[in-house]
Amino acid sequence: MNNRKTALIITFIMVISSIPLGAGRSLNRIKKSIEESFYTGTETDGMSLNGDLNSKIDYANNLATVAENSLSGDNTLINLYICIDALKNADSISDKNKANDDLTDCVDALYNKLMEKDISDRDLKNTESLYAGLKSRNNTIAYEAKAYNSNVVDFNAKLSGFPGVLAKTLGLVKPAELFEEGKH
Amino acid sequence: MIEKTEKSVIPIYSIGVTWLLWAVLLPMYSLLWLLLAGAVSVAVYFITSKIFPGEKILVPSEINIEKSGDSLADSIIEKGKSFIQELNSLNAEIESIDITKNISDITEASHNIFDFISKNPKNARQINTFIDYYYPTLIKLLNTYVELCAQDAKGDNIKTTLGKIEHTVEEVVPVFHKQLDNLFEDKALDISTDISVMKSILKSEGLGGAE
Repeated sequence: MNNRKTALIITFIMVISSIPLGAGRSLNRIKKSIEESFYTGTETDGMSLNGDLNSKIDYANNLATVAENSLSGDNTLINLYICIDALKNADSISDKNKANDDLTDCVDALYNKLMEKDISDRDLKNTESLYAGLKSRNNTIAYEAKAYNSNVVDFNAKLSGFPGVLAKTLGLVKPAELFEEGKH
Repeated sequence: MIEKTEKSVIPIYSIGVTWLLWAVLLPMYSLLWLLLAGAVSVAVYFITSKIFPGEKILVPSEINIEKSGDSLADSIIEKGKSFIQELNSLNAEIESIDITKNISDITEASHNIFDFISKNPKNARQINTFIDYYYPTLIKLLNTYVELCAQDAKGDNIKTTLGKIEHTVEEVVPVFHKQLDNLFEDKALDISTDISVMKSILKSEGLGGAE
């Protein structure tokens, strides 16, 4: 340890190993903050992608309740319940992304089916209102996703340059997931 | 023996520690951060170099004496090299600064003596006594000194003997310088003869100045 040559070798190893470790640690920190913004929002307006998805689940549940009056036991309604559960139980961002796309399809299918049915005026009014609310949620989600995805693209670009690429190659950090509607 | 500064390894390790601390506490995801970490570690290296400059140590000087071509002189030179090496080894084992300095003086004078012999092999006989008596006796004394120093409990006998050896080594230093000076006696005589002759010629030709 007191030998200069040994000291140089040990120091070289310390410096070389600190680069991927440090890069991995600081990149994971950035990634965590981006992923947290999925749940807390990219701005301080209290809006977030996850909040919008939860709101969409509420609308879809209400729509299912209305649909029970005329489509009880129908496959389209059962599918909607499955889609709602899938989005509720999705853990990762990519799972939420896929479940959200599926829910949009299930809602559209149920809405079309309800429009074909002879439903009461009250149900029709509620269905139109809830469907409009769901569409509005989709717009908000698209807006929120734009800001979130911009941060993800910036982060993933860091993994292509040095030293990010080193940390990525060593498996110390993984790319962040985009939230792209309609891609699944 | 020559004095050398053995640099501390702490400044080298400080570079590695700086990088590790940076990796744990500060961002390191771009080249800019890496350059900054590099610059800071260099600054830390220079600061720790000032705080821990290293220690001064005595190392044996290189024994670089060429052969003369004369068999007697060369055999004396070989013996001399071996004595110098042995003195250097013993000196490295001794901690007392005073005796270490005296041994260094002796090895330096010895180096000059054997260097003179290599250039003036006809003077080899002049240092026979040195080779046959002074060096072996000095090495014997120093071996005893090292042996006594290694004793954990130093009684009166050991302390007295150590003191005597230190005193003897101190006394023997001028002898080596004197021996070196004696070797130049012939040269001094030649030069003084040349000077006398030159002065006589200058005087006979009316060119000489004041006596």
